Amino acid sequence: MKKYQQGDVLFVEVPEGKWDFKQDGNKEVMIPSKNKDQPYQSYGHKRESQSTKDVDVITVAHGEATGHTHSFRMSQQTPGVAITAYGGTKTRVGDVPEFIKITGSPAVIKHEEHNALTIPVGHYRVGIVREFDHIAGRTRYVVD
Amino acid sequence: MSIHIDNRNNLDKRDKLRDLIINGKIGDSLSLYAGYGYKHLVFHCIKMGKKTANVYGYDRGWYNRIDHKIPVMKITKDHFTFLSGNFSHIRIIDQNAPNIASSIIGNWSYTFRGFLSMGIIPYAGLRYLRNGTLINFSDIEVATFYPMKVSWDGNLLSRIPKKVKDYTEKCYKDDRDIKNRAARSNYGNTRVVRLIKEAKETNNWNKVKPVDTFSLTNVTKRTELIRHFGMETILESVPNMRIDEDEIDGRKYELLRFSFPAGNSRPLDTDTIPATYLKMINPSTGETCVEGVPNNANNTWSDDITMNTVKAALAWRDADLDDVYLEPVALT
Repeated sequence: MKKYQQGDVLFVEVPEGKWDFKQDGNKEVMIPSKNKDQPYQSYGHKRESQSTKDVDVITVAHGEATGHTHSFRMSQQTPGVAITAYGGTKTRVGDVPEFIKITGSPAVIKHEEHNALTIPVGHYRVGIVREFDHIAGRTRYVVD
Repeated sequence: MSIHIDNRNNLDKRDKLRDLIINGKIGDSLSLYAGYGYKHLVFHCIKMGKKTANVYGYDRGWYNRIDHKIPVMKITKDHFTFLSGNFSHIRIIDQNAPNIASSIIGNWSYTFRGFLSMGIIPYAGLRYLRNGTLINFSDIEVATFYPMKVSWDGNLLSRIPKKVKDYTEKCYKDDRDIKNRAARSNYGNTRVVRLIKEAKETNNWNKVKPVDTFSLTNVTKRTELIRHFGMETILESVPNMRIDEDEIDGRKYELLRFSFPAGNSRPLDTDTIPATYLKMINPSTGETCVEGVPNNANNTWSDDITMNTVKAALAWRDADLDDVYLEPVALT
């Protein structure tokens, strides 16, 4: 399992065979593979996709104070790259995907305050690093 | 064992149950489905004696369990006796309890929740206070405990044991502490954000102190203060010690433990509370930042201090599996 990190955003490789991808009308859906361990079953059994065919930008994390974003901009990718986002987590400043699948060629994700990060072809779970607030005594996801 | 067939549909559940106990024959039974929110629970009431009935709790998806033979309640014409809070197949939920025996006090209690949801006992309700469930009657509120006798009028008949009273007080206190800490954190963050805004407008930073860095919840704003004061000045503002340092793929990390003034925070019997922070450098910009990590990764509410290495802190920060830090192939 490999991990890629840009600032507070993590891309953790999902092992092959854990999910199947099926076409459901115009959208591709992500379904846990049968007869195998399902470590991600808590995320649900079906995830709809947000295809790059429909949008130019896929944002995986929004900045609250800065307005900066961790985003894949399709117009800046090398030809042949396709990125599909699955699922959606609601945040105060916008929805972000739970998984992404990169096909064709490695994709580049950019952020205003971090160097660009190249992520190889594969299937990844998107995560945000967390921190502990000692004054409140609670855990929360890092926001910038 | 015969099944109690009730054709009197105009009677509500309370009257049906009372009718079973007073007029039913031994062996008669009645099934009561719990109310909104607990519709997956069902209570089978079986007349066992002249004026008594046993109540067996079931989750409707788990019918074939042999341990359902243990009644969760007994009912007489005078009172209800709650014997167990949880149907045996449902895990007892009480993170603060060191063992199952003590977790019975103030536990989640499917029996109370399901049974009270039917409105059979008037003037009784439940309240969940983060670390304990309290049952309230018309004149008293107390942590759930067993066995508990309650009259048909909704009055608590059991004497309240001292340890239950203590646990109830603990629930109130912990709930108050949690609310206060969250409020203090929100207030501190809002105050410092406002001071920074004023300082930028007036170019006068006298009101902003280095220690205010730790009140900010937004990493970018925190980095802004670090840029203004310098990391060393901030570190000097609060007593701290370096617990560990590490270099991973050329990036330097330090694990620092600060001693924050306790204020009203837990534990109340100390002047300071330990606070562990990870100090690191943004590889893209070269700026230093600090982010909090718990003193104890396994139980953030525990007062035990087990977070002692940079890698353990990074593993917690990234929520890595098995608490083992998975080094990123690339980090920017």
